[in-house]
Amino acid sequence: MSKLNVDVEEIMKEIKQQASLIDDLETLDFEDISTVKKEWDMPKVNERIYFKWDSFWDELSNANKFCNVDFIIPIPKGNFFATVIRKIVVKLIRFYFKITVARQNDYNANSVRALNEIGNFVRDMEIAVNRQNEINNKLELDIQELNMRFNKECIKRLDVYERQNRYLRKELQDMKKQIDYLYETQKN
Amino acid sequence: MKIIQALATISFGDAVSNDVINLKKVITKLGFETQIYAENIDGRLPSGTAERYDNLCELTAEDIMIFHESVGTDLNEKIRHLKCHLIIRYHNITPPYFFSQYNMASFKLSEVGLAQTRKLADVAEYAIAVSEFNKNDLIRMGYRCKIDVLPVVIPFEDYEKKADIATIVKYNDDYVNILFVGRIVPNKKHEDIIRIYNFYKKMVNQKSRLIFVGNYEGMENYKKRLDRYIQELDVDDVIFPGHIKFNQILAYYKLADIFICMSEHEGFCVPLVEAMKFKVPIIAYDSCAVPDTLSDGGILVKNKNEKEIALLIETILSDNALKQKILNNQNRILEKLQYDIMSDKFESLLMGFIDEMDVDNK
Repeated sequence: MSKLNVDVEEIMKEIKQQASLIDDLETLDFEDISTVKKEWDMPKVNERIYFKWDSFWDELSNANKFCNVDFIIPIPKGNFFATVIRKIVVKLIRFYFKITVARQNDYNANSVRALNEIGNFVRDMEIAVNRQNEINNKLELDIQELNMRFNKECIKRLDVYERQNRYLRKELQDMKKQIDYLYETQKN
Repeated sequence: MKIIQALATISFGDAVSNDVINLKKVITKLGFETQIYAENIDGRLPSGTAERYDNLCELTAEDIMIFHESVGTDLNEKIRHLKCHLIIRYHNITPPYFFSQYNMASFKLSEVGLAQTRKLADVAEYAIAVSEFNKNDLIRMGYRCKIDVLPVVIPFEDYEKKADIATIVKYNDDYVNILFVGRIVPNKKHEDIIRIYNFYKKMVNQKSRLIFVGNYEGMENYKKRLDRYIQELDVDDVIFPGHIKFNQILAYYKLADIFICMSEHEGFCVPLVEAMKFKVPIIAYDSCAVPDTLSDGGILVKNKNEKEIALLIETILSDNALKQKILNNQNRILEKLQYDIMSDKFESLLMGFIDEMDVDNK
């Protein structure tokens, strides 16, 4: 098509000639790029918002270390008489506090054991989540692969159908011409 | 008699919104009472530019509503029941299949919008399409009323504003700047431009860069796919400035050596006119409304062979005589789209409709 003083057809003809002298560049098709990529679009399943992993294990470690309370408190060295009085007082009240301290230690041990189980639960969940992430990754890749194959197959088949369609149209046109010709011949 | 305009969303700097605002100026100049009503109003617009549709004034059988159709919206249903005369200003709705892989909400909105536009054929008394392509779309959708064509009314004085110096300084070098302006949406086929640029950069001219001006809000998946495509092709100097100010857009136009458009769906394509205004030679794919807007300006290509288009870019940039011929043709087209000419045409179309209304009433 000529456009005032710019002959586009002529320009494109020359360019086609130039193009034949230049090597092709193997280029990936846009259709080969999947619409979804896991690490950009899918959030990690075990993404933590409030739970502080390091803090939890530090505190649990301390709880395990210090869960038993010693009811005997070392008497600090000082004045002789004060020290003697403190020792007598401790011996007198020992029988009473021993039971209370023993009960407290039992409770502490139970609490810490429960916390340890929670820690084990968190570890198990972490392992389960990591396994799930691996499964998700694999499924994601499978979906991408299937998507690409599906697109390619669709394009291939469309191409085949279009060619068949063109062929059939041409056949139809030829038949129509024959029929017209025969009709004209008979008329004459 | 009141002549009201309505649309779903009036935004700042949007082509449809600018068209509405410019038509309002013409209607005001003619002495009619007028206002713009929208469901959503951009806060950056000057106060009083538009009112919320919920506050629509009382309309009688003598009044006229010009409804700007460009997207699926509840308004399409509401305006069917108005007593006044209805004119449809059709900007086009992108076919839904472009969005199917990226944004289901846009897909459904587009589907609904097209169905609603078809239904408005029953009640529209007149239509003004922004291009012949859009006119043909309306005819295909069953519109039997009179349909005229009036391109988008563009305020060219906006382009005389000062361009951003920092942007110009950054990219004003011995590199060829290839530009496309438009929202990052699938129908504009950015991937085809990337493929062409990839060939151009690797096989024709290494000293080149590709600039995509436009925002991708709502199309993040498409943008990500483009990013991955660029990464897989291993091609450098592809720039997405993102959401930028108007003076920066002006800067990119001033820096551009060539404008490429490979869109497969456009209702008008204002950036083509902008490129013409900034004397940037255009290569565009012959599709949809692009040949209507470009007419004899620019170069229309019938296929997207990256080798041929890359060589065409080089031919235009190296042949000054050819480049000047292209720019002369573009200037001729630009003259026909001047604001005064478009305003006069709109005035003539509107008054023609009003005269026919009066005759029918008698």
